[in-house]
Amino acid sequence: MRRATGYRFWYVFWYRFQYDRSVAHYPLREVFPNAPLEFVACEIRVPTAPKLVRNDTFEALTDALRDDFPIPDEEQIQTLTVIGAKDGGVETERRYRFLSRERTASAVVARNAITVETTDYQEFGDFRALVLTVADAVATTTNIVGIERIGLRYIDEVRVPGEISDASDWRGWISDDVIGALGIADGYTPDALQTVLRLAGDDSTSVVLRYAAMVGDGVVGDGPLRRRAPATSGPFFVIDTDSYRTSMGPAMEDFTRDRIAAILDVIHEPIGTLFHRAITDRLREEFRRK
Amino acid sequence: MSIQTSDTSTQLERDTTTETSTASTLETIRRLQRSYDELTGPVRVLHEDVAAGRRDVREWDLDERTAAKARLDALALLEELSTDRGFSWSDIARLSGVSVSAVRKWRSGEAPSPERRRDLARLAAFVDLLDEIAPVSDPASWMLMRLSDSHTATAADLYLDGRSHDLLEHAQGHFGVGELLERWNPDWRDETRSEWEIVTAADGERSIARRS
Amino acid sequence: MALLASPDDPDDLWQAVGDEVPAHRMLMQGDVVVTDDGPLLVVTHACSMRRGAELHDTQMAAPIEDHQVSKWDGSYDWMPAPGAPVPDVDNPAGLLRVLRSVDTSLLVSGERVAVMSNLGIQLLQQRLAHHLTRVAIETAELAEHCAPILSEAELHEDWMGALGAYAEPQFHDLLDTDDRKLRSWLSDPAKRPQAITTVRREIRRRRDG
Repeated sequence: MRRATGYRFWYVFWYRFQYDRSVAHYPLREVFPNAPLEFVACEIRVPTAPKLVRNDTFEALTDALRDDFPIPDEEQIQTLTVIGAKDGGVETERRYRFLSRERTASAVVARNAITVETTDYQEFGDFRALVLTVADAVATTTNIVGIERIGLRYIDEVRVPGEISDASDWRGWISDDVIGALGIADGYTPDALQTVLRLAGDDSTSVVLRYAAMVGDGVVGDGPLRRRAPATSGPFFVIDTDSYRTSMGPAMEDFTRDRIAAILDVIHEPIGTLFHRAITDRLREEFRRK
Repeated sequence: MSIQTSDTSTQLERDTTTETSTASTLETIRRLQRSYDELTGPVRVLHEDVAAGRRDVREWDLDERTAAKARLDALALLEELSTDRGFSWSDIARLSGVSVSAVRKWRSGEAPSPERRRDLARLAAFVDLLDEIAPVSDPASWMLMRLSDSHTATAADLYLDGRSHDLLEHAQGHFGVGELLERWNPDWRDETRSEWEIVTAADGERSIARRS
Repeated sequence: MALLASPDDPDDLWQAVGDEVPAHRMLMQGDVVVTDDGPLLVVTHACSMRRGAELHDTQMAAPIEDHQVSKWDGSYDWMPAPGAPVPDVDNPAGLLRVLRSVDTSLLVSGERVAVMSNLGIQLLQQRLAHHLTRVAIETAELAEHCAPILSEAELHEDWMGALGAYAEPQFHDLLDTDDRKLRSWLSDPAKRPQAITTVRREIRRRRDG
C-alpha cells in the first residue's frame, strides 16, 4: 500500500440517531456464495453465577453438549493486563469452551456469560437453534437468575478484486453514507478510516456499528476457532455490527428458552438491513460471484 | 487523535469498548478491539503474528535466563531446585534428562558435563520464568500434576518433549489445556487417557481403582 | 504394541548401585539384597512395607537368578535386573513365580547392592500385578500412587545423610507434627513440593544452625 507522503489523517465520527424501525428494509435474505462474514457470536450475559464454572457443571455440560460440541476445554483468562507483576492485580478467570469437531464453532461458559460463536455461519435459523441448545444445556445445570443482556455480533471482512491503495479506494464498494467523511480528504491520502455509530432502538435495544478500513491478514484469527478459509494479506474493510438488548434491574428477563428466542429474533432483525445499507450494488454483485 | 464532540461521545466510546460490547471477552473480539484502538496506520493484528512475537520475546528471555543460571555451579542449582522449589531428586533427574545416579554424583561434588549443566540451568530458568509470568501458585506441583484429570499427561511430559514455550503461553492463559495438549500430540485424548484413579480404600490407605 | 513397559536404558532402572547405595536408605520395594539365603529382590508394595515408621516382620521377596531375559514384553515370570552388581550372577533377574515371605531381619542384615529408581519400581509393580492377575496397568497410572512414599524415602535419606542416624526419630516426629500435616502434604501432589521444601529447609537449619 502506498504510504502517505503528505499529511497523515484519520478521523472518527460519533453520531446518535433514533433508529426508526418502520423504515422499509431490504427483503434480501440472500445467502451469498462469496460472503464476507467471518465471525458471528451471540452472548447472553447473566448475573454472576459461580456455579457455572465449577467442575461438576463442566462435566454436566460436556455430556449435554456432546452432540454439537464434543471437544471440551478449559481456559484461564487473565482479566487484568499487568504482565510480569504477579501480584500486581493479575486476576484469572476460569471458563469452559466446548468446540465443534471441525473447530469452527464453540460454546463458551464463564461465570457471567454464555457465548456461542462461529466462523462458519450459514443462516440465522441454524445459529439460533444452536444458541438455544446451549442455553437449554446450561439451564439444566444451573439455576440462572435472569438475563442482563443479549447481543449478536457480526464481523464482516470485505475484500474486493480491485486495487485499494488507500481508504478512498473503498468508494464505490462501501456506501458513501458510511465513508462519506472521505470527502474531506481531498488533496490528502487517507491512510485509515474508522466510523462508529450507536443507534438506539425501541425497548432497550441498540445497535453499535463500526466500520474500518484496514490492511493486514484480517481480524478474525486462527484460534481457538478455525477461520473458514485462510485470510489473504492486504486491504480489507471491516463491518462490525453489534445488536443487543439490555434488561437490568426489575426489568430483567427470565432465562427461558422462549424469552431468549424472542429477544434473538428482535435483535437479529436490523442486522441484515443495516449491512445492506452499508454496501453498494457493486459489492453485492461481488458477493454473488462464486 | 480523536475528536470528542460532547459528553455523549465519551459515553459512546465507553459503550463500545471491550467491557460492554457483545462477546468482548472472546479473543477474536479483543484482538479486533486492539486493532481498532491502534488504528493510526496499516495494522497487522493476526493471531499468529502476535503469538509469534510473544514467542520470540519469550525464547530470548528463556535463553538469557538459562545463560545466567549456567553461571551458577551445579550444587547451587540443585539446592535451588530442591530446597527452594521442592522438586525431588528423581524429578530433577528426569527433567534434566539424566539418571538419578548422575544427580547423586553431582550432589557429592562431581561436576556435570557442560551439556548437562545447561539442561539443569534451563530447568531452573524455566521454573523461574513460570513463577514470574504466570499466575501459577507453585511451579513444581504445576509441572508434575496432571494437566487434565482423566489423562496422564503432565506439564513435565511436555517440557521433556520440548514444549516449554507452549507451556509458558498456556500458563499465562493464552490458550486452554485442550489446545496445549493438541499442539503436543493430536492424539492425546486416546493415547493418554487414564482409566484409573487413586481412591481411599476401606483400610484408610490409597488404592488404585478403575474410574467410574 | 508392548503390553508391559521396558526401560529405554537398563541403567534407568536403578537409583544407586554398589558403593553408591546409601547405608541409611529405607528398605524399599525393588531393593536387591544379598542375604544369607541368597540374593533377593524385595517385592512388597512400597506402601505396605511398614506400619507407621516400623517395618513389618516379614516382607515378600523373589529370588534373584542368573537368567538372561530375552525380551521385557514376554518373560512375564521375571523381573529383569540388569546392572545390579550381584556377585557371581551375570544376568540378574527376579523370578516372580517363586514369590515368598522372608523375615525382614534377613533383608536388613544383608548387603543391599542396588536400589531401584522410581521408574524401576513402577516397572516392577506393573510386572507383579500382571504376573499375579494378568491385569496390565500402565506405569503412568502407578507413578502417582507411590509418589508419596518414594518422596518420603528420598527425604529420609537426605535427613539421615545430613544429620546422622541418631536424628532418625526426629524425622518421623517432623512428619507427624500438627496431626501428620507433612505426611498428608506428601500425599497430595499439589502440596508435595511444599512438604519437600519444608523438610529440606529444616535439614539445612539443623545442619548449619
